[in-house]
Amino acid sequence: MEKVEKIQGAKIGRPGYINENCWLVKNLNYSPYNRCQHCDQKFRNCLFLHYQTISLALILFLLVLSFLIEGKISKLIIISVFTLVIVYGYFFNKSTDKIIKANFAQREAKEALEELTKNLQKKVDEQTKEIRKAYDVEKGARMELEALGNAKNQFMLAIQHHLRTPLTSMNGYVDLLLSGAYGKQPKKTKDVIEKFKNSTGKLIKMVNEFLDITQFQLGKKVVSLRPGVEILPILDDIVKDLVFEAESKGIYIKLNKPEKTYIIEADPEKLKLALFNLFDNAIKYTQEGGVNIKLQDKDGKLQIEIKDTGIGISQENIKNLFGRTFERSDIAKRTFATGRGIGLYISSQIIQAHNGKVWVESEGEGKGSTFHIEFPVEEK
Amino acid sequence: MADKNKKQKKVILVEDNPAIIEIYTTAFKIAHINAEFITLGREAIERVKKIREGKEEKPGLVFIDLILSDINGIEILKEIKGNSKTKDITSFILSNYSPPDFQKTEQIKPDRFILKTSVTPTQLVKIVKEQLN
Repeated sequence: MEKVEKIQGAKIGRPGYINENCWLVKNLNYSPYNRCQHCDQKFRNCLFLHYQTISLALILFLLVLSFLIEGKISKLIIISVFTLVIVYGYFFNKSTDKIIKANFAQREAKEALEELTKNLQKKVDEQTKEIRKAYDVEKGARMELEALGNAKNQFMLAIQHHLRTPLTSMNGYVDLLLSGAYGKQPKKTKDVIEKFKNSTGKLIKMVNEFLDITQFQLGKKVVSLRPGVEILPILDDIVKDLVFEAESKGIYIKLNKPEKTYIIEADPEKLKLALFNLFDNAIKYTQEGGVNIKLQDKDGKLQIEIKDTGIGISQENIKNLFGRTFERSDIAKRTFATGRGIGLYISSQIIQAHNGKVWVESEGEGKGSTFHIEFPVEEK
Repeated sequence: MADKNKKQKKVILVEDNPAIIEIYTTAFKIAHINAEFITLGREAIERVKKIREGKEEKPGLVFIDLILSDINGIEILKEIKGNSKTKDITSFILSNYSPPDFQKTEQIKPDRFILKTSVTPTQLVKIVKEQLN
């Protein structure tokens, strides 16, 4: 189609003009140095042969004609024949040159296009090579980083026993001191021991959280599920622990106790930690009003709803709220300066390890939040 | 009165850390809990074998630490739970090592896993009393 348009658009004598109907052009395959498909002659030779054959035939024809008419070959006839042959040769040669020029132009254009394609391909190859190189560097760095992270996690796991054992002793001795196992302490001493106990407790919580994160990142199990765990006493314990914190802020925390008993398969200590983080967060980020907790049946599962009237969460922050560690929203930082940004991550991982799920709804910043937790319930 | 005279079952703790042994010994002594500490894993396995042969009395509760100086606590748990004569002995893992995947250990599971740092001696006494009663 393109070829036809090219022929129609070009004029005879201009570069690019090719008479597609010419038998020579057809048979010589458009190239002056290619061989003819029929006679194996080169294009130029073929044209010359063609010219010679036609000229010879013309001379012979005219000589025979002259001889037949006049009975002899006159000088005029000979001059006329040679003039005719020269003129024929001139025009034949001129048209042949046009074809050759057109073929050369086409060949040059083709070569230029091939060169351009080659250069373009070279550039594409070079750029691909550079991109691949950059990707390899990035991949290498990422693998190195992953290997380092893995080594760090493995190291943390290896030393977890050594990290926790002295803390267990500290906690144990403090507990014995406060329980009076080593005799009654003066009030001032007891106050100091209480402070020491609080600090030890915080340190234990932090070490346990970091070790839990390490376990999650290595895909290791962190919970030891056992059947027949009643959920309400766990929730009740957490609320009792947090009532003082809520009241000191002038807000409330209320657990709406259901009539039904919910039994789940759980690791009570870990579950308490996960739910404590969520309840504690609700109190931390609520300045007015309070936190309401209720339990309900939902499609044969237990659903716990924690609704607060706090700072709320923007849609942008909701997206990856449970997937981030050591990151907190600006409004969270303004409201409560000392959080570490790991509580929600740990809670969600523990809940998932209980075959449960957690999600959050909020109409936006300043409009409160509702956390939902869902667990499969054990058949009685 | 009858309860007081009734002999309380023994609690065995397989534990090798001297400080922890001292803490739990003190706590159990105050709570009048009859506790015995075994510091070596192989010694604990020998004890289980004696219980199986009827040479020793079954304890009311066994606490096993996972990291011991000679063997892994799981080996002791296997010795208890892997035999029909001893599998009814209530066995808790009490360790500072995170819970291993017990499903991989030939279906042998402890009755409970307790992270040592998460319980105070007072809480542990409460757990023991609940279990023995």
